[in-house]
Amino acid sequence: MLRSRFLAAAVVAALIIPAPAYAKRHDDWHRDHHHDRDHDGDAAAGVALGIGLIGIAAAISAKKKRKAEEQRNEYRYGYGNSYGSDYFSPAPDVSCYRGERRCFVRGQFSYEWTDRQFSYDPYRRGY
Amino acid sequence: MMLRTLSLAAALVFAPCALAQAPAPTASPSDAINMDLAVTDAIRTMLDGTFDEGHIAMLQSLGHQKAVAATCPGFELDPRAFANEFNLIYDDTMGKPRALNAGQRVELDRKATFALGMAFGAQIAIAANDHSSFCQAATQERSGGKVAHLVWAK
Repeated sequence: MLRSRFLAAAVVAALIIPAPAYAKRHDDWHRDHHHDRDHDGDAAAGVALGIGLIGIAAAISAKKKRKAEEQRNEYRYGYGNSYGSDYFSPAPDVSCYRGERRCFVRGQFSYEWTDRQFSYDPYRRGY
Repeated sequence: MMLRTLSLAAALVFAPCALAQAPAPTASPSDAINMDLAVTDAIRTMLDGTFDEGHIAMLQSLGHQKAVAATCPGFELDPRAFANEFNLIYDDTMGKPRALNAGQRVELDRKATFALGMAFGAQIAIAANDHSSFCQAATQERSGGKVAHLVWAK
């Protein structure tokens, strides 16, 4: 959470900081009397760009991490008794699970019932 | 007439309550079924998009039959039947050969072999929960004659 807040702050800073530098260059009063300020503006823009790039790199890294985490969550299916909500029983002793397209007879995988309940390809194979 | 109206009103009032109280058809799966479902999900995630439902079912079926042949007495694989089944990965859902370049073919081979290994390993582990029931179920499926495309030697 802290990390994503830091990322948001970095991106916001990158967007905001160059704005005054840009404004100074186009400000008549500064242009007439303080030409040296333009160099400060360039430096500020450079720093801001740097921060922005770091922010983007960090955001990309965070996204990769999040994706990996999502995949791990997929592999973690079944933890915390999450299975069973899509259960149905087409016959005594037969239990089927729609999400995984698998059927079991007395707790053992059954080709016969899996095929009967989830035949998927009417064109040819008929598994 | 009055009685009929009253009974209708009562039905309208109590029917939703009765429906709400009807238990959802759920059953807590056994450990062995949980293991099977979890590896099925992992296999489906890994194969995502590359293989159709037929391929996924076939690879899992081969993994299971290989595990039975590896651990149950009286079971052996028929190498020709096994190859015929596995080679379906090169066909599309209509049974026509897929258009694949050499790289895609290698990728397909690797993924299918990986899925087969996952299914095989998982079924070996699942069998360890109750080995005699695991083998007994396979014996019944083989002798039942209701399952097509088995790759055990007859």
